[in-house]
Amino acid sequence: MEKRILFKLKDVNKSYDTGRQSVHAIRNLTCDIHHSDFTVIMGSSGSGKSTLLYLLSGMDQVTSGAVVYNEVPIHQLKEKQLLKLRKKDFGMVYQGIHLIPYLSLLENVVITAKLNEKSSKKALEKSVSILKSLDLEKEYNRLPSQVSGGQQQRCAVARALVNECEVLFADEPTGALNTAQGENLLNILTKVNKNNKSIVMVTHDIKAACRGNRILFIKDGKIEGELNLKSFQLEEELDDREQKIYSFLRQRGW
Amino acid sequence: MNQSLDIALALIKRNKRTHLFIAIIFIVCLTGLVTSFSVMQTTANVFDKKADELESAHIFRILSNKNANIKELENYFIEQPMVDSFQIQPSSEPFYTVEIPSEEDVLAFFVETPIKKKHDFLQFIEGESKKEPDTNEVWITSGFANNHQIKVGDTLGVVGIDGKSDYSVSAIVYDPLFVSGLMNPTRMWVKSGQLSLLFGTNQLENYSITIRLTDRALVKEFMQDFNVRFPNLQFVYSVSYETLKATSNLLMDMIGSGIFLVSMLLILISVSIIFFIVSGEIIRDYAIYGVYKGLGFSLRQIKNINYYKYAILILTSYPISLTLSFFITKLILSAYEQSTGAGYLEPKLVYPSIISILLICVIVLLTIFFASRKLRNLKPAAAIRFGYQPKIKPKKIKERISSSFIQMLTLKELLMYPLKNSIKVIIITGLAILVFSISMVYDIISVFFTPEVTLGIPECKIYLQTNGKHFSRPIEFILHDLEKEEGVEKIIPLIFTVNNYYLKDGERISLMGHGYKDFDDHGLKVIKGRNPQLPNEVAITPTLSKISGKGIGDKIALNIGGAFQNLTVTGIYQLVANDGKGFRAIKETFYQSNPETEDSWFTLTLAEGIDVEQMRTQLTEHYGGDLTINLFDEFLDNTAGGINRSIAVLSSMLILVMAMICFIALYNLIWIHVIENKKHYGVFKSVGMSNKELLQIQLLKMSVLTGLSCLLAIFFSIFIAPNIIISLLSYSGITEINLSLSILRILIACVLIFLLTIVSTTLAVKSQKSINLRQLIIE
Repeated sequence: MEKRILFKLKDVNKSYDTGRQSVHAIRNLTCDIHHSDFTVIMGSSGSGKSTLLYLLSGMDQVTSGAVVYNEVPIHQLKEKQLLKLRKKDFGMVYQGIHLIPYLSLLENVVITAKLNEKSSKKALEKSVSILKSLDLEKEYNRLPSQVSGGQQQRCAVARALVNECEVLFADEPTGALNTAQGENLLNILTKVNKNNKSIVMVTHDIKAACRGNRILFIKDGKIEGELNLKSFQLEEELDDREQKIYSFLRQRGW
Repeated sequence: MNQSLDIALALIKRNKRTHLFIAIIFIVCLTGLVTSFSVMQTTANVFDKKADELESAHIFRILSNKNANIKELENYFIEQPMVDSFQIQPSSEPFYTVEIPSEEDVLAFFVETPIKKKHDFLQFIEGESKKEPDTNEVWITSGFANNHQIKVGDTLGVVGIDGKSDYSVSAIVYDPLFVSGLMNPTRMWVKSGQLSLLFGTNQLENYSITIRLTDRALVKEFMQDFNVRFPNLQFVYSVSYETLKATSNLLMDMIGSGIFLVSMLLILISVSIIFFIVSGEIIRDYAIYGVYKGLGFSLRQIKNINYYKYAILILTSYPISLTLSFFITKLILSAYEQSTGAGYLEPKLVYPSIISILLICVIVLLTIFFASRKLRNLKPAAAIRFGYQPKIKPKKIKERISSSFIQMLTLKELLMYPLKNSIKVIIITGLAILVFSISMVYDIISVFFTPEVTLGIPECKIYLQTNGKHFSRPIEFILHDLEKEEGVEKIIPLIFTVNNYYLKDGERISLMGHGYKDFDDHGLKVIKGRNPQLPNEVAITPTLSKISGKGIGDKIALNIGGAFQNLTVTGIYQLVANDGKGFRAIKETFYQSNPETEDSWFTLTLAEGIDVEQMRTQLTEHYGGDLTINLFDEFLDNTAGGINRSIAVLSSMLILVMAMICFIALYNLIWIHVIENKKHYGVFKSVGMSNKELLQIQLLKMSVLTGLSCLLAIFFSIFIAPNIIISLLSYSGITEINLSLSILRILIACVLIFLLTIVSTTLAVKSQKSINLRQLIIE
């Protein structure tokens, strides 16, 4: 069955003015991102992958072209309308984690829930439930500095998911974690994707990319190639997927 | 050249507008400081110099001729080795009312010019230089002439034995002791023998005694000896050389102090601006500083960039400020020269300019030192990658989970940053205290300037004074007619005399004495004890109580009308006149000293709706020859109008400056706070927090802090400020004042302070609006 198109990008350009010259981060990029896909964006440093992620999430504005989300042209939306999308439809996980240091794990999640939920009780229930599901129930009242990096990143995922977003954006989510913590987080993301949530993830890490079912390789602001895999099911498949991605990347000068 | 200096110069060139603005601030501050110091230094010794040049007296007194043996006095002065020369001349009463061309009434005393002057020589500024004025001519001082715009040839009106006489101003003189236009009363010179004609020989009761000593430093020693020798002499007016000098320098000191104060306030503003500019630049350019450190710059060299930058600005401003100061000082001094006739004064700039630049350098150096503290832990790698990262010590703070997103974050921010929030509270509290205290000062002024507290007389719009004791008809008849005047409801006659109290060291002070039939009937209150009711009772002022060490129940020896009386103190009352030195007693007490003591002042209670000005004209027409008709409000305007206006200008200026400092400080503190927390706010924005919610958080936080500050300020103003204000005012005889703050004034002040914090917060938060969300999180 044909998957619904979640994002449609057409002739997207993004340039940054750095004083005397402009840097073109994205050049005439056109592509679709489908609903319930685990899309992985890969590319070397400065290729424009993070820029693409922030354009999709509405946190940055295109210089020209169109970004349409669920038939809504987000490049034309005003800040207020973008806010609604960020509150309800989009969740974001960063490489730097970015939990608020003076809020406990629970508060970090609750405070986000409250942006969308008028009832404080419901916001609390939702937060507790999501933290439990991510195995953080014992750490509720701890501050970010009192827990491990993996626990912090799980809390960041909880914060991103607490408002039942439709798309979860992840910018190098395993970048600040050790191997075990990274593995754990990827398992969570896979689980989230299996629950029909779309994920768009930027990564350098081939192991992380194995969790995706669609790999977009970006170079000099353009999509240089695309690799479609079936959805990740079993740990045993990892080696095979890794090989496929590796040869896909090698062919494109990785 | 030094690398830090190179960078400092490059930074100045890069941001010319900001640095030009700072340089202008430095120019204004330096100019103000140099000018204020220069004006004060240049005029500081003019009084002594001119007094020595014209051989002015070191001791000046007006003596009542009761109990005075002039011959004995003269012999004493001749024998006393400390006396270089002395003059005893007939004088009028010290507070004599004189009508000047602008139809105002001023206070002055007339002294007959000695035919052969031994000291107190005069320098003629305008008019013919003669040995003495002609008949019906008067010489006045330059300061007085300038203050009231009186020229040679103008006529002054004086009421004497034959009614009103006109005296023509034949010369304006530089009289060093009374040169200041602020001297009240001033000294006027008339022809010898003139006063007997004016007041009649019988009424001429006073002598002006002036003594020039071999050395000015001997004044105290001489006066002790003199007072032991002549304990019963009654001085109706005495003013020390130092007081005359202070009054003479008062105007220049006030101008100098005013400029100094304004300069210091400007320095305060510039300090806050520089502090926040440096802090802001450090936060903004933290990554660049990291690069410098990576390149091998030491922390000292990095900090030096700012020191060099501001040193260049100060040094560039310095010659411009010196030039400006020179011209401004010259302008002020020329006004002083013109008003006093003091002659050409060369502005002194060397020491003032050195002191000023040192002061500015130290202040700016300290400001940069504190503002640069953010550079202490500069680590190049972290600085280049992440920019400035504020240090936050995470704390676990429990809050009500039921509060909203905005309430929850506001509470967190309030408790997470105690130091920053305390600074904000201190700044706002400072402003609020200033506003509330100034409001209190106005309350004090209104209490100060009632007839009861100012002059010691009952509430009235008009009061009358007798001019000498020779009337066209008996005083009883005049009073009888006055009572029948339309609009006059009540006349209260009182005895008004000048008396003496002897201090332990033998020095005597002049006391203002009021005698009434009944005090309570006239609404004259005491702040402690009760009013006197018997001839051996007296109520004294807090100042007299302090200098005599006498309280309620104690006996005090007062020289009333030349006779000592031992009276029991029954109460303490407040008085501003005569520096708060006074007493009140029933009329019988005065009669005990002199049975012929007469009422010399009268207060009039007028009927409702009577036009006071019209009443004065009417009374002047009927009784002008016998009585001086005074309006209390006019008296207030003459004596305290200037003070009132100065307080109003100064307080408005202070509030304005403090509000500006408060605004700049709050704006920058909030701006820096948002910049420091931009990653957190970026994260919140990425999950749906709007700019409006960010603003609401800051506004709610600032409202809580402002509310807290206002409460602190109210507490301070009610419980602490009054004690400070009263202790500051105690010299003027005021020890108790009703300082209740008006709720309306508090509300208005609070609303204005809230408005200021809201505007500064809104502008500071809005200035962050343009920051890209991605930048907020990633960079």
